[in-house]
Amino acid sequence: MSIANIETKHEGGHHGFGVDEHGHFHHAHHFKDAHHQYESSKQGIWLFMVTEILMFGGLFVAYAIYKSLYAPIFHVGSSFLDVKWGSVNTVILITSSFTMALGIYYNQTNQFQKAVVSLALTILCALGFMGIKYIEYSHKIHDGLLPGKFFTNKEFPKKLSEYIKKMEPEDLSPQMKEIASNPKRLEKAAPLYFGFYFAMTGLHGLHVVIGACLIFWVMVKTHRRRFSSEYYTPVEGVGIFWHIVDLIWIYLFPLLYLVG
Amino acid sequence: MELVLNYSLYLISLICILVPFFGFGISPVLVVKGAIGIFLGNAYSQLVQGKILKNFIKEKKDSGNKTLTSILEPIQQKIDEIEDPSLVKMKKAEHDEHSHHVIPIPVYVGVLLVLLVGTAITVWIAQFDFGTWNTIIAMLVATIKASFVLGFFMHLKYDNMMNRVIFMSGFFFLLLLIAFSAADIFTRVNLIF
Repeated sequence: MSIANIETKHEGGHHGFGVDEHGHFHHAHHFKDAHHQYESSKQGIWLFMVTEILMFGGLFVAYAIYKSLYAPIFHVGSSFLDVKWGSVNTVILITSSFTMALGIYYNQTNQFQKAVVSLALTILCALGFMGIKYIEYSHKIHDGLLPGKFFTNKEFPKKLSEYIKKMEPEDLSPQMKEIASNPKRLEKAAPLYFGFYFAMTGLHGLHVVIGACLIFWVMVKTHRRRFSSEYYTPVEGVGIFWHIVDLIWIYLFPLLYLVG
Repeated sequence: MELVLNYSLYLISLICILVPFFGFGISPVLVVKGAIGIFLGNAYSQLVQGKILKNFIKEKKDSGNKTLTSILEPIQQKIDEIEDPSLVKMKKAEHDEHSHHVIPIPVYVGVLLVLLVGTAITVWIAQFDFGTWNTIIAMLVATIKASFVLGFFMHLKYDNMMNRVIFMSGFFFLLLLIAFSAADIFTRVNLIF
């Protein structure tokens, strides 16, 4: 194929590919065809998802190890969280995953008005999630339930020593026993749970914010009719990212709020 | 499949090396069975991948032996299909290769309901104390929910094998991380449960 041929083939879009005014897609010249371009892009997204799983996976493994060593701190820590807000946030995030899937569906079927509405609803859910996160965080900060040296809550060590006293001595790990015998060390170990809480929900919240921005980007592109049933790869990619955010929360919610 | 020949040779040499260590006394039946299996695998791969059968059929066809070719040719066809499943799949997939799989809305609604019910179950069951089973039950429900999200919302159920393998490889490496961390903690630190 001559160069002149390639040039005439790709008129739409600035990067040599995109949807023209008739909704037909022209693929980039280094791909065999539109399907090849779609599959390659999606494979890249999935590779990125693997890195996401590994990043959060490290935190989950750390959580599992420290929970097996210092289980009472995690139990008392989770009692300071409000299950009500956590459940509401779970429902919000699941609903947003549903509307995101609808956003992809309506792009696949050329119903752009509905696609824009679905994506807007997804962003609304993301904002709702972050709003509740704000309420939760400000409550924690007010109570001094913060990681490390910022931890100033007085109630937590009291509750912790009460809980340990109620437990059978053989249920405690040797590490926990060592700490339990010394009130000063107990006070120092108390912030452990909130280190995990803020690291895990903070990183997840960052993903929600980035995801919301990306959804806004594809929403604007959908509104400008840059996608069609022949080309909607960015919506699909952002969708996969948004669903992984939901996926991680599905695990975070019971681990932080319920399993104590 | 073209690697069967090489791998069977590797396996034969591996057994040759391992026999002095384990001895025939432990399980001679296993060694004999393995050797026969490897011999058959090797013969098959030589016959097919070495194109001995194909050449044989061609030779007979050229010389006009109809009865033998009519028996052997269907066998060769079947072997070709087994050897390269993509040939059959390509024929099937040709017409829908360029149109993406669209999941209908009722399926999404169904998944949404499953996820909401799953959340309700997780919250409800957390009120009861099952000891160490608390975590296991919660993680089980979460994994069921996660597989619905992966399969339908992320379209992995209808995606190609490559993307599924790529994503699962992430969990494989996570498993390695968990396994080695756990092996370290539970052997070095004295834990009582």
